[in-house]
Amino acid sequence: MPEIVFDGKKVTVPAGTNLVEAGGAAGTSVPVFCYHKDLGAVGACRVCAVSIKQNDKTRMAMACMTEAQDGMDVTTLDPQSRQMRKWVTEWLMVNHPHDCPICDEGGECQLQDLTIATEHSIRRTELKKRTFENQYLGEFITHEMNRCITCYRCQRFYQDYAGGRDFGVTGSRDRVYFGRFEPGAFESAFSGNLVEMCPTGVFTDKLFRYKSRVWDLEISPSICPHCSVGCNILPGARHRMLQRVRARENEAVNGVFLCDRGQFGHGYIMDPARPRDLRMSDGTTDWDAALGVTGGALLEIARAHGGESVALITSTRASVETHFALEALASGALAGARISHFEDADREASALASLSALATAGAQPLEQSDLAGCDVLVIAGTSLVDEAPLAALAARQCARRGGRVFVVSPLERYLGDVATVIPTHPAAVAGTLEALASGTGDGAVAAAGKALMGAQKPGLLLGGDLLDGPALAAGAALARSLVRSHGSSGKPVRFGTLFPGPNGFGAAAMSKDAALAGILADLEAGKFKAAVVVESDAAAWSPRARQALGNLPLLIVLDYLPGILADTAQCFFPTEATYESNGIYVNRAGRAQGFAQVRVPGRSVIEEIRDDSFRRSYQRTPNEGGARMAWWILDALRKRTVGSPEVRDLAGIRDALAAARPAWAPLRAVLAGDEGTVLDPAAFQPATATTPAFERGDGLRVFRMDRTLGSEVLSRRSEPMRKMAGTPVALVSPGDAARLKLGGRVSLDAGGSAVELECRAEAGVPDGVVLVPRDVEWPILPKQGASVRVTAALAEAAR
Amino acid sequence: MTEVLLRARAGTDGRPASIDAYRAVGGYAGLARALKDLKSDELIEIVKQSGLRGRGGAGFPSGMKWSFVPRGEKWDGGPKYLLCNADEMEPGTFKDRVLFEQNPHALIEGMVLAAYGMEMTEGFVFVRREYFRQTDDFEKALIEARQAGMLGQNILGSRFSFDIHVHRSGGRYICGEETALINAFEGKRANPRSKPPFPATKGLWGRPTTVHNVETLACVPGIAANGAEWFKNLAATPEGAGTKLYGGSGALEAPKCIERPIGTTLRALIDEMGGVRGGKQLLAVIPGGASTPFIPADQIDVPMDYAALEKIGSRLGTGTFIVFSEDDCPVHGTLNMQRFFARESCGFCTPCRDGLPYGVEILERFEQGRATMADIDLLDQLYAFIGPNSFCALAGGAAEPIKGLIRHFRPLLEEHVTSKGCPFARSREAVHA
Amino acid sequence: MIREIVDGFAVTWRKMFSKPVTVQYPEQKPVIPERYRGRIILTRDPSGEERCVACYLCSSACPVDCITIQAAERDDGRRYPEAFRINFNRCIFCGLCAEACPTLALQMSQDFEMAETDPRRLIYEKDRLTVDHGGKYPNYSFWEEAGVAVTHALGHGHQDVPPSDPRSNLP
Repeated sequence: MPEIVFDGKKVTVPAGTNLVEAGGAAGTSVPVFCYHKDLGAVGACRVCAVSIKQNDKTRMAMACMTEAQDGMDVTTLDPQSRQMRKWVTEWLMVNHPHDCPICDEGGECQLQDLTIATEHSIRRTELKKRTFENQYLGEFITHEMNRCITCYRCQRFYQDYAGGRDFGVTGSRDRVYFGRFEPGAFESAFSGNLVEMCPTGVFTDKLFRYKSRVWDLEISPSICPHCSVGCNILPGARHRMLQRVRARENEAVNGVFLCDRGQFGHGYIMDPARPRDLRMSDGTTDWDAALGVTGGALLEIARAHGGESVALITSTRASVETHFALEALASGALAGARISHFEDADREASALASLSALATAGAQPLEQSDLAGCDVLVIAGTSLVDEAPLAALAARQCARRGGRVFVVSPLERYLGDVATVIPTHPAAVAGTLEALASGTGDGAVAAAGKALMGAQKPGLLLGGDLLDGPALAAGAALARSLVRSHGSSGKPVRFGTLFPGPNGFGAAAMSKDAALAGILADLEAGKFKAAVVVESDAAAWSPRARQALGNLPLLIVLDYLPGILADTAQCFFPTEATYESNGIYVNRAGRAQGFAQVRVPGRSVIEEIRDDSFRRSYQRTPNEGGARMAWWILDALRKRTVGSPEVRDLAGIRDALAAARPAWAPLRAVLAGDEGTVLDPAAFQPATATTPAFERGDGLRVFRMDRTLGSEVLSRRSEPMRKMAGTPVALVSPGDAARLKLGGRVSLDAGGSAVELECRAEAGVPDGVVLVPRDVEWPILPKQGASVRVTAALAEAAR
Repeated sequence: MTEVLLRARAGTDGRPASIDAYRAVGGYAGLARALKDLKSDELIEIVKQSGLRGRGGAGFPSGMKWSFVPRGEKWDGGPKYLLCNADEMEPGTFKDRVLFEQNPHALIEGMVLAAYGMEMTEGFVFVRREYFRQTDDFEKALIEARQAGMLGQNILGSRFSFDIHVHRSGGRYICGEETALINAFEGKRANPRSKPPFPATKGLWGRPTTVHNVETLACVPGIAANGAEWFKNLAATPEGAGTKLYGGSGALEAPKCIERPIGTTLRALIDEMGGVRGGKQLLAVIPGGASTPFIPADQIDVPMDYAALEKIGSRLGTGTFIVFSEDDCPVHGTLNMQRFFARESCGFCTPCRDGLPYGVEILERFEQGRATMADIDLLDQLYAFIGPNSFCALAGGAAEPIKGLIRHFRPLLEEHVTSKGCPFARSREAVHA
Repeated sequence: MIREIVDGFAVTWRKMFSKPVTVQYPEQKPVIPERYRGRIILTRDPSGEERCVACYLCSSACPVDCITIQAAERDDGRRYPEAFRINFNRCIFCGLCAEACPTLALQMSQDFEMAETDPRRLIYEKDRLTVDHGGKYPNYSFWEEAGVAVTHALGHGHQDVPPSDPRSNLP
């Protein structure tokens, strides 16, 4: 632990700390361009020069390249270092264009900051500035190479950190160019981070282009709602328009990174098709009256037919508060109402089973930061970059730090170059995991088993979509056996699973049983008289269940997305999306994290610009700004049905939750913007759920799975996201493709439910498997692992 | 006159000395002796005592460099590489080429000896792009050596095996920088690497590596054959060791490359090359390639050796000097060199990438008559910050001639300002051409 | 005491015989200095295009928050204000916005006669702010200096060299 003096302040830092970090510890922010704590030091920009006095000698050195040593007296304030920073600024400005007024980086540009800090304002050279052609890099990122200061951060992030191969550096001298070999969309799922990586404005957010200055943005801490990782974000809005999303640092979750789905998937918020107004079949437009009418109708039905004639359904994108408010509705006259916290029966069963596995394994939670810290990491039953992209990025860091990563999955399209991939039929994942536990198997399986047993810090991450019941059980058993073998020597065993949606863990922890399948069956049978559906999607329901909705005497829908539910409802209450509300999500590792309101709902001032002018009339409230938080609406309904006292506030509803279910008590301490609180899955006594085994009979079996861009329910409503995602493609093994002559457009028929889509052979996919993106719309959703017939599409055959 | 490195020379057909010609003058005797009588430790000790210093420009003691490579107990048994840096691109420098095209077997023998000393497993010669014919000839020499059992498996019947491969450079100045050379060799961008880790522990493909200049390696056979004392005594001065290939270019009557005892005075060398062209007055000399500071005419009695030149504020560099006569403008010459350095920057660090063009622009102002007196100090200050603060030695080398220019030719710079342009007619024409 | 009173009246007495400085506005127009900070205008560049690039620096500099802007992009890549509003009810004519303007678009004019009976008329939109001349700087064009290819081909601005070929390894 060397002790150094930094700018006159004594500070002790861990051995091996470089002087930039040591300066941070002493309260001096050493200016840097090329240095980044996650990318390391390369010493290219030379701006972090400091003067070091050591053993009576003074020298100038780059802070990022110098490790703190006992007895160093470091300063950034002497004339030499000041002058060096001035020079570096002047050199960098030799070629930097004079376009700050139109640059979106302005206001958060490190070069701008340093130029002002070093008081460089007069150009002393008559050199002309070099220019570059820019490239089209897709719908998310704008390229402006003239602004480049050659810090190599983009290349180091894209190639070294994120493993991208389609972007790099060419040229030499003062003409170094960062780009793709040919213009075209970035292939990496993490390209959005270049915006933050670039210290100046070479890579800027295309969705945010020319929208605002960053200092004008209204920003609140929030949580990304696009998968179960729960990345911390800072959405920014101005003039009531949500304009951009940036990563918020949380070392336990996402570090400083985001995936493209999270960063650019926010289009659904400002979607013109979004239902923004209260809609009652009787024409009521006043909220208070509407709540009264709806509550009255609900109460009437409950009194006439009993509480069990009411179905209450929400989903994994609803906050913990909403889930609880829905439960709280089922009391008084509505006692006995049937509740499900999921919109998809299969995912409900698998989430409940996952939580139960986590609760009983006795292992430590496997958080994002733990993924990177494992020395042996086994990922099973998921294409990780598609299901939880940032978990895949963390797994890559595990491999980069020397950890061994094994993937047991039918598809792995991101970690292949750093991990040992064991291509496995989804139905065979269980067998492989058992082989890992028992130390049998051969080749890579044996190696993985051996590595796990000898690991100091083993980790096991199980997926959601491509993992069946037996595989989950086998995974949990493997975790338990690791705990037994490693626990005695004090080595931590970490075990995690993926959940659907941003609050899958919360929804599972709130659930008493896997109820949705029964509810939908009864809905089809016409047993319900009323239903309250909150922020759910009916896409996973059977057509008959969807049809039955129309026959319900009372359908109450609360949502912020358009769709069949919103269209059919007699009482539609618009709700506030994540960025518009306050609440808590529980991420896949049980970390409860709060989010706070960024914008108020309603039409943006910008959308209302006509004829070069803002709206010329004055009004107090935004147009179409009626949405409320779902839990508030539910609580207001509860007041009118159950007759309980006043509507509660956020703290009130959390207190009530803690009182009703003590396991949730830690939530009262969660604040939006803090690092979150980890909940213990065992405290919830999760319901047991059985998920069936995937069949592996003859012929092809269809498996639905996520894709990084385009399959997730919220982000796929965003226009640029749709463009970048392209049309969905079914993946088959090269063997099957050759055998059945597949390729181009095919028709998939799963027991009478047929779809037509592109098909491609993908190396590594095992024979007998057809992987279909989740966003493909089937007439009747096939079960995972259902037998499917694949034929070349008619149009193709005719040609 | 002792010629050691060039004791065998190309024949009248222009082809380099054959292995027989080389052996006829005692070639490969050192190798035979070392393989028979010396352990690798002993060879390193002899090289250390011989006082051999790197001939590529930096002048680092070679024996010391050899001793950094993990050997014996410390060696993990994996591959270790010897790289010969024949990427001779320093402006004004052409000594390695002469050695290469006259006496390639001296290099081969030197490499095998160095490899034996450092227990290397594989050798590579990284050759400048433009040396097409020389490289072809060198490859032929390698075949000769292999056939003679001097290369390959069990050299001269010993248990030592070693082979040499030739790599033609992509052709940029920066590839001559030790670590950039390694990167270029690996097929990466020729950006220098940060040190530590030094190549001796983590170099080519992450393995222990030593990079040597051609001439340095060619010195080794003599040392191995005749011992450290002999080598030390070759020098003209007591503190020097060995001979040196001195090249002269610029305003000389007979510019050429000759081998002389190290420490021969600059005046003697200029005289041997026929003196200043056209009987003109000598103005200045750049002693060792473009990255060394000017020596004014009144200091040319300096012995051309490391210490002596450092004493007068210059450096030996590659030992190939450039002569300026009274007709040649040092400012213009410096501008020319700075253009070279700015052009050849790899673009990795800011001072080199953006600072060098900045310097070029200031020098252009002097030459084109737009400079002010303040620009002299600006120039001085600019290079004072570029030199020590850049990533590798390229920009540091570029700062050297500027240092000499300002120290010795400040009045000339002032004259450029007052006379609004270059006072040398020839340079003026060049500027406006 | 007496002395002060006498001194005071002496001034009065002297001024009774000098020319009055009062200007009989509005019959008589006052002479307005060139750097007067009057009504804010949005000027045009030499080619007649609007100069404002909607950089939001004026609205940021404004101490009373009377400027509201929304930027947008034209098809040719030019950034411009889709809407530009100055609320002169609030404006204190301090001139900080004009000082902040990096493109010399926003300038203070010499006009001060902008009284209205309806305060809503004092909220100026882009149409009433924009003038058809370059104001005090008729010859400046931001785009020619900025290094952005909008008014000219890439690399042909006043400060640029034509684009480099990033594929070339030649020096």
